Amino acid sequence: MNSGRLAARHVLRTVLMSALLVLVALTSACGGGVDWRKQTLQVTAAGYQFDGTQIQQAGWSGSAVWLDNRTILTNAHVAGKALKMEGKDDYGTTYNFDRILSLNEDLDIAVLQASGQSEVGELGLVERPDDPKSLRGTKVQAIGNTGGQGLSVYSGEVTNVVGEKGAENIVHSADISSGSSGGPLYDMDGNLLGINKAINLALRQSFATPAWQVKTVVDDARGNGGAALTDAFSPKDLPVSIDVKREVCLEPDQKLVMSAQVVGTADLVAMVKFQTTDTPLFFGLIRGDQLMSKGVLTQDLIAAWTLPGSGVYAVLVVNPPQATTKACASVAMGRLDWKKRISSK
Amino acid sequence: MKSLMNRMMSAAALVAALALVGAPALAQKPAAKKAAATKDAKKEAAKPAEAAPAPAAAAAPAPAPEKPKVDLTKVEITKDELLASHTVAVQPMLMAGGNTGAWTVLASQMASAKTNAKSIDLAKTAKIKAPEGPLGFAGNAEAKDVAVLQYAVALGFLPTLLNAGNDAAAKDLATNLMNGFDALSGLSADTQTTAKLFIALALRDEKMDGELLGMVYAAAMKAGMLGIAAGPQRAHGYYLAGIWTGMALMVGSAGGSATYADMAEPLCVLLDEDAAFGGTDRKIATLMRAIAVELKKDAPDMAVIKTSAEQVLSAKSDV
Repeated sequence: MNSGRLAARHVLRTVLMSALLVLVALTSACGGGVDWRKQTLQVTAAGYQFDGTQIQQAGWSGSAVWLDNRTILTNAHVAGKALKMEGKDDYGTTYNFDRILSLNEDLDIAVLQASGQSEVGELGLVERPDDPKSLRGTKVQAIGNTGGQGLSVYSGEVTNVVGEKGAENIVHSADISSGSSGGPLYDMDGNLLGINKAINLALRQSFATPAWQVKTVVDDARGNGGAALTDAFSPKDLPVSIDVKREVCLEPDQKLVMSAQVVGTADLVAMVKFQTTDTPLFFGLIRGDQLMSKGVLTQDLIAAWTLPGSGVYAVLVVNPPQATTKACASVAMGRLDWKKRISSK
Repeated sequence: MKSLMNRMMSAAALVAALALVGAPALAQKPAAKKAAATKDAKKEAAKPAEAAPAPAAAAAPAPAPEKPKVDLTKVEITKDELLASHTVAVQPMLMAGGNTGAWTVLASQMASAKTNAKSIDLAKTAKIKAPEGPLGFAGNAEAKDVAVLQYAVALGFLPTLLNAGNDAAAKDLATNLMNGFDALSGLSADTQTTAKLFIALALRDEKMDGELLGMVYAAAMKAGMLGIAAGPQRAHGYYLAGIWTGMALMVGSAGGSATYADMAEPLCVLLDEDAAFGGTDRKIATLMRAIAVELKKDAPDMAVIKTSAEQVLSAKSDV
């Protein structure tokens, strides 16, 4: 009886050990040869955010994945205006990233270079199938720095691939949330299927830039020296890009409305250059019913705002009713174009 | 002209009347604002100097007292104060978050979307007949801007036809538009060039290239946007509003797009604030907003979009 019980225990222990090994393999290798705990990073970035004429230091978090032992992929909206970036893998090893090699805001992809080397191998990127929609149903794992609290693993499947060739998006059901931006979407063989970038809470959908489009940004980065993160810009040398300009003369109690449709995250810029000198002007930034920023202008203005998201914003330039004379000014509006930080270097 | 005179006279009469009962009411805006019950009434009251030099002289009021000097740097600015001032110019800026590539991506996505041609009454919507001349857009000066709007709706509708594979109808419309190109003669050179390119694409025999169409569309919209700044503001604003409305049919039949829908609002602000045609401008803004609401839904109601677009297409100036 005893020997039989011992044999049963041995079998049970063997089964349990095997099951444990399978579990470890599943969670650490995404079913393939990649150790996601080394390959995936939580990142913290530091830079500036803008509130009118105030420029404040700011920090934010996101996710990234090693492309090879020296370069990482993340979202453009994570790295675009970072002056400093650090990453930490799931074993606690930390890395510094000191160069930005490529930035593509349309695809929301950035490629950065580490100051040192990691031990990871080259990441496999999924090629574009003839019919990308054939990926529907593919099991996936999304890994991201959820809420800045460390790497979390979410499972799901590809629900659709939308958009035209060159501008496709993978839609999937694995949950991602704030902090997951720039994190990898792996297939079950551990290959990179996409880089997570956005969620639609209403539809409960997650979006990723497909790996085959990421490859175009990577190709751009190869052989490109890029720019050092720290000297990419300074508060006095911002990469301003003007879209529209308007010259206007305002009688007292008249205003100019610059109405902007903003898509995604953006740093909106407004510039006011006085053509008359003796009448101060009021200005305001409005979104819906909310007055987000206001001020009195007595001299030329360059203001930038880090906006909370997509929507319609209006910059108002007002010659106040209390004024006694006409005021003329040239008013321009545009955005901070972070891509310039690489192309101009 | 007569109507303009009537308006000038009514404003003049208002100025004269106010001058008689107490001229300071005009000089001190807060009091004038309270008296003005509606936005339109306020607008009329806010521009006496340009509207009524002669009657002011006829009424011979005492010179308005000078405003007391106020240290404007110490004035508390409120949202209401900012919004209450009379708007004299609106400058829309579309797709501000992305670079020019964002335009292209959006447009090419739309162009590649599968359109259910049967869901739109193409023949009816694309019908732009010319009672006089190729497109019948020659009208009096006040109607010229509305003609630009109608022309642009048809221009924006062109990709819908192409996308639906209705090449014959698209070529008919493109030929019609090319023949009536004079309707855009008041617009900037860049706006005209890109509009012509847009039409020329439809007249080609090659299969429609969504990416190329997207690039031309992006360039056309950007030219219109800059045209608003360079002037004439209204005509360029109507041009953009028209293209947006025309293309909304395609976007709606492709399942809608919140990004595309949001492009309407800056243009609606322009129409609201620059209501030169009184009710018509605001009616167009209302119709565009109704379309935008549908485009944001998971399943846009094409009947609403189509009806609204047709109403924009048939807009008449009310002066």
